[in-house]
Amino acid sequence: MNPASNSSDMPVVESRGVYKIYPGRIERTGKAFTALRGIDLSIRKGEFVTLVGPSGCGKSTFLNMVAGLIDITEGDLLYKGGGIQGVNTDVAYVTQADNLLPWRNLLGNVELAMELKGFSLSESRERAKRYIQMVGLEGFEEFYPHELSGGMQKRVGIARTLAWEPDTILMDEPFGPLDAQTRTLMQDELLKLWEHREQTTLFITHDLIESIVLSDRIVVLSRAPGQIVSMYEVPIPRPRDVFHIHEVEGFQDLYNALWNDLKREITADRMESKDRNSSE
Amino acid sequence: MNTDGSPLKMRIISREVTPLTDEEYALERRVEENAAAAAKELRKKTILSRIVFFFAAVGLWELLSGPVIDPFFVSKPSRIIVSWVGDVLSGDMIYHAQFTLIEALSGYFIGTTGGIVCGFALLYFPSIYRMIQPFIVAFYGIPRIALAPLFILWFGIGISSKIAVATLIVFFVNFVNTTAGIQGVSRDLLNVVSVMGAGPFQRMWKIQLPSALPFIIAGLRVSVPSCMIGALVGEFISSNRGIGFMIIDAQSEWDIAAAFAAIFSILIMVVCMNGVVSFLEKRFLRWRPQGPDGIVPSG
Repeated sequence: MNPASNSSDMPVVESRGVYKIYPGRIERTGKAFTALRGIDLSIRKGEFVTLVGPSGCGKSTFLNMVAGLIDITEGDLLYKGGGIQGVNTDVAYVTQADNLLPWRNLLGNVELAMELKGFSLSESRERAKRYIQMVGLEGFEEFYPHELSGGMQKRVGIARTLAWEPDTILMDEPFGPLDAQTRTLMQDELLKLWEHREQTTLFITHDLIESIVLSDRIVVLSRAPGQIVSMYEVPIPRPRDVFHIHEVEGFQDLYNALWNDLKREITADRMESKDRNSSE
Repeated sequence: MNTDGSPLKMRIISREVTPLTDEEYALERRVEENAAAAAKELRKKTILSRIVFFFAAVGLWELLSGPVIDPFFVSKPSRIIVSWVGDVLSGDMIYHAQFTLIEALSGYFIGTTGGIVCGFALLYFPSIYRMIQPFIVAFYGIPRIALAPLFILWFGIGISSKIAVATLIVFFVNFVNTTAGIQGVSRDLLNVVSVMGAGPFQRMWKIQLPSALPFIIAGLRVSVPSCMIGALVGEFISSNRGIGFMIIDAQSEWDIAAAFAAIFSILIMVVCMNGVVSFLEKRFLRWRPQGPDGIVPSG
C-alpha cells in the first residue's frame, strides 16, 4: 500500500463525497441504483467506528470499497492518505459467514492469512497458538471446523483475523448468525482482544446494543440511497462491561436516539413501498 | 422514544434526508451509459478474440501441413473444405448424415426420457430402488459400448441397433443424475409443502422436479456427445451408411480429408444439439443465482 506520510493524526480511512452507483443488470432493467450517496467520513487511527442502517443501505458496499473489492463511482476514498487501487491487503476483512476452510484444522485456518502474507513458519505457528489461546480454544487445534460449534467457529475466525495483527479491521456483521447468548460472549471477547491492541476497526451491525458496546463512534445511514443521517460519540468509558452495559449512564439515551433515527429510516421505507403498491 | 429533539451532546452530526438532486440523477444516467458501453465493448472484444483464435488455429494447420507435417496424415483445412463441399453437393453427406442424426437423436430422446422417467418412478417404489441400486451402480461401471457388438447381433445392422447403443449410453447418465438430483432435495422444503397439504404427485412436480433440474440438465448436456458416440460406434462396427461408415470408408481409402469432412459434419450436428440444451438451460434454470455481475445491495 501507500507508504504515506508519518503524521499520526492522519485519518486511516478518509471518505470525501463518496458515491457508489451500481449500473443495474443490463439485460433486465438497465436502471442504475445509487447505493451510497456523498459519504463524508474519516476514521482516526485506533478508532472503533460502527455503521448502522436499514438493510440495503450500502453499509457493506462501503466496507467493500475500503477493502478495495469494489470501485467507487465518484468522490475520494483514501486509505492512510493514499487512493485505494485494487484489493487492499493492508486490512483484515471478516464477513458474516465464517469462511473457514473445511479441509484445514483450526490451527491451519488461523495460520492461513499469515501463510499468505509470507510470515515465517515458526512465527505463524507461534502467533496462531497464542491467539487460539486468547480466544479460549486451546486443545482444539487439531479439530476441523465442522467439529466445532458456531460460536467456536466464530472465535477461530476472529483469531485468524487478529493473529497477523493488521492495522485495520473490517467486520461485516460478524456475529449476525449467532444466538443471542453466544453473541454477547463474542462481543465480550472481541472487546477484550481489541482493547489490548486498539486497531482501527470499521464494524457493521444491525444490533444497536452491539454498536454501543463496541464503538467509539456510531454512524447511522439512511435507507437507500445510503447517506449519513447522524453520527454519535459513545460517551461510555472503556474498558466496558458487555454484560451490564444497559445499566451504564448514557446508554439508554444513546440507544433511544439511535433507534429514533433508525426507525425513521425503516418506516419511511415501508411507507414508500406502500405508496408504490397502492399506486399500481 | 421521546428523546429526539433533546440536544444530545453525543450527537455530532444530524442531517435531513433529501431526494436525489438533478446532478445525482445525471450521475446515475452516466453510470448506466458507461456500463452499457463497457458491456458492448466486452462482447465485441470476446467475439473478435474468438474469430482471431479460430483463424489462427486453422491458419496454423494450413501452413504447417506440408512444410512441417506430412499432409498425407493430417490433411489441410482447405482440402477438407473442398472435400466437405463436394460431399454435400453430391448428396452423399446429407444421405449419410440423416442416418447418423436419426440414430443419435432417437437414442437421445429414448435414453434421456427413459432415464429421467425411471429416476422419478423409483421415487414411488423405494423398496425396488433399494433392491436394484447396487446393480445399477455396477452396471453403470461397464463401458456401455462394450455391449455394442451384441446389440448388432440382437437388432441387426440397420439403424435400430445404433439407436439401441445410443439409448443405452444415454439412459444411465440421465437415470443416475436424476436420482442424485432427487436425493439432493431439501428435507425442509418437502416438509414445509407437505404441511401445506401437498400430496406425493404435487411434491414431485412442484419441489422434486425443479430441485433436481440442474442435475437433469447437466445429464442432458453430457448426453449430446454420448448419443453421438453410440451412433458412431454402432456404425463403425457394422453398417453400410451413416457418418461412421463414411469415416471408415475414407480411412480404408487413405482419404484423410474425407474423414475430416465427415467429422466436421458431426461437429455441426453436435453444436446445434448443444444450442438446444443451452436454450433449455437458460429457460428453466434462470432462477439460479448468476455470477457476480449485477447489483447485490446487502447490509
